[in-house]
Amino acid sequence: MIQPKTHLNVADNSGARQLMCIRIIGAGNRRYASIGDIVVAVIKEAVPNMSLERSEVIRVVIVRTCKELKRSNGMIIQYDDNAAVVIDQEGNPKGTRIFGAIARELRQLNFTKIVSLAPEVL
Amino acid sequence: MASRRLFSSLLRSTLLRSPQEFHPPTTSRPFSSSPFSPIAIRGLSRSEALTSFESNNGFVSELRNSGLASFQQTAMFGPSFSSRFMSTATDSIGFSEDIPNPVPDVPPRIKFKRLDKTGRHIMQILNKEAVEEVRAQREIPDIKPGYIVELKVEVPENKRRVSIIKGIVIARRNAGLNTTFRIRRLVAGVGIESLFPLYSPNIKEIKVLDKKRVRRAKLYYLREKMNALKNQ
Repeated sequence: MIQPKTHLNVADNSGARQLMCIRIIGAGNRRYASIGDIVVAVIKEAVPNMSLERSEVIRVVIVRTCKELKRSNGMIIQYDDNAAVVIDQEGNPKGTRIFGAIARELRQLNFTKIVSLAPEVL
Repeated sequence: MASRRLFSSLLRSTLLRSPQEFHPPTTSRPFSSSPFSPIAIRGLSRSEALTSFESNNGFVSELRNSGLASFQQTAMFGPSFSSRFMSTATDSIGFSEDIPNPVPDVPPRIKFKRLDKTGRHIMQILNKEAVEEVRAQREIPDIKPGYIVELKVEVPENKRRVSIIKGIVIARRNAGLNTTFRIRRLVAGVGIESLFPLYSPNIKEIKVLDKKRVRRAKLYYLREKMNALKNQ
């Protein structure tokens, strides 16, 4: 349940460290974003000397949430933090490595590159 | 079927013969011990009273035995059999609601105490049966909080099947067939909690690796303790 003002960790090596969500992309007045949603965020903290800088507005996709993700077979998955991966306009990740486990649902949402780079797909 | 006809013909004959003597000795209930007779304590009291009336009146004693047997047989067809008497019997409250096993040919697989009382906890009975069915199929060990457990889960979307999940059980919720348990594990530097239904067909195998001594039923304090991200 990510909403504006939520701080997100970054799960790749694109250069950002901490993001703050400012808007949820989608129809109308969407309140919350969950795993697989694209969100507009501003960089609050960045790694020095990389392509992304602080207070830059970018688009990210949510990959981990503290709010549980329910599956239709009765399984529920819940992470310990909220994290996102920086993407470009097409949906391809900007970084080259992904850290942490990724949920399987991203594959259905056409983020196949992220899923293939992930060290573990749950 | 023949017993039914015999029974009903007997009853009709006794009705014709001595209507004024017919006051059912309801205190004498030799059938209360048999498992099927209490199906119709109220509705069939007339018929069982008649059979006791017949036996008391010196009919052949084997009729009583056969009466018992046929009574048991007819008790299986109890619902439809007693409906004949429903028009005459006055206090048949127990048959106003639907019988859970409408097919009379299937032998009742559950013990009835009273038909109207079974209707109240029929969900409990169905739940228990479903759980036993799953338990007979595959072996499910006892899982308690504090156990270190390794699961083999089949993922239908993956097609590559079985993924192995290993973690500590931090909670277990008992709800019949929907009994669930939570596993906490560290995956690639992130703590992950997963909740699984215990009787899910997707869980292929459960293996208990270790048992830790815990003094709680829900180990949610591990979220602070076993948190890789917080310690930085």
